[in-house]
Amino acid sequence: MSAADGILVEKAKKGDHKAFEVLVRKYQGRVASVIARTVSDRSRVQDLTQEAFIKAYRALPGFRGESAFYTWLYRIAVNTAKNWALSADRGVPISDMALEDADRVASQLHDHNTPERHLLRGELIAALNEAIAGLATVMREAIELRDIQGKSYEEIAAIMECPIGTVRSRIFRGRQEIVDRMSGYMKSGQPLGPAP
Amino acid sequence: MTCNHELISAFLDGELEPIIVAPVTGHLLKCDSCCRKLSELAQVQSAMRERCLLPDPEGLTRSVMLAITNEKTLGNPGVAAHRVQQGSGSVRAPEMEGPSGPRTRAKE
Ligand SMILES: [Zn+2]
Repeated sequence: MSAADGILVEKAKKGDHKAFEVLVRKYQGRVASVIARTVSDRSRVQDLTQEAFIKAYRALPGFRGESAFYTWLYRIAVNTAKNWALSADRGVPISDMALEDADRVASQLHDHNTPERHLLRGELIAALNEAIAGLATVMREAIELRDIQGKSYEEIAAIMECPIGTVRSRIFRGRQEIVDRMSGYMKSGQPLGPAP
Repeated sequence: MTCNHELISAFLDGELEPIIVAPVTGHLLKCDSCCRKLSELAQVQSAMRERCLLPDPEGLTRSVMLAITNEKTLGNPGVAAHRVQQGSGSVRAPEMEGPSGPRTRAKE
């Protein structure tokens, strides 16, 4: 587990709500992405993301740090989405179904739904692609190596033949430029326009 | 420490140098501006990975935190009806699901 997550989890366990809020901010987009693989409705994704974090908060005292915090949270998100899909599609009371069955059945029901179609409308994808395309090559390359290929800063530094500090700066400036270019869609505290 | 959004981006990636992990984390706990920056940068991160954006991240954070605060105040069990109540009535952690638990693997 990352050292920062460890600090935040320990504080949250002791009742520090702000520490849990930072974890929510850090991971809510990724949790929503996981849920959107199973659930197609945008507002439902938001509700279930909220539900997953509330479950995580309640289960936190039992989290012993044997896996990374995100791995643990990821499992809660997958189960939240699958249980919802099962109850919605089959009218089966969740408590009556073993989680492994939920896993099997729900994957047959829903995995063909792509988040792209539902969460991020065509115009948003276009804006995102345009924002990415508009970045300086070094920034785009650094961000893609990090976010798409999952490379560490150290690996990126080796690939791009530059210091790690430069990698960190390129990734930050690239992300910030995307935020700026997409400000119409990504304003803090603002919904992303009317529901589809 | 003062606001440094580049360090917030590195925090998001789990790439802070060990010596600055505690100061940056401590700063985030006190600074609303850096917290909002964290949400913005995290949105770009998940958009890059999954081409997926939350409609209202700030609203979501607020609802989660409100639900947790209300629960503490009211002692309301609320959501999470499943996966609870084993013996002592404590909430089960996902690691305790048993050998055949969820098969999907987190990509991290
Ligand atoms: Zn700050």
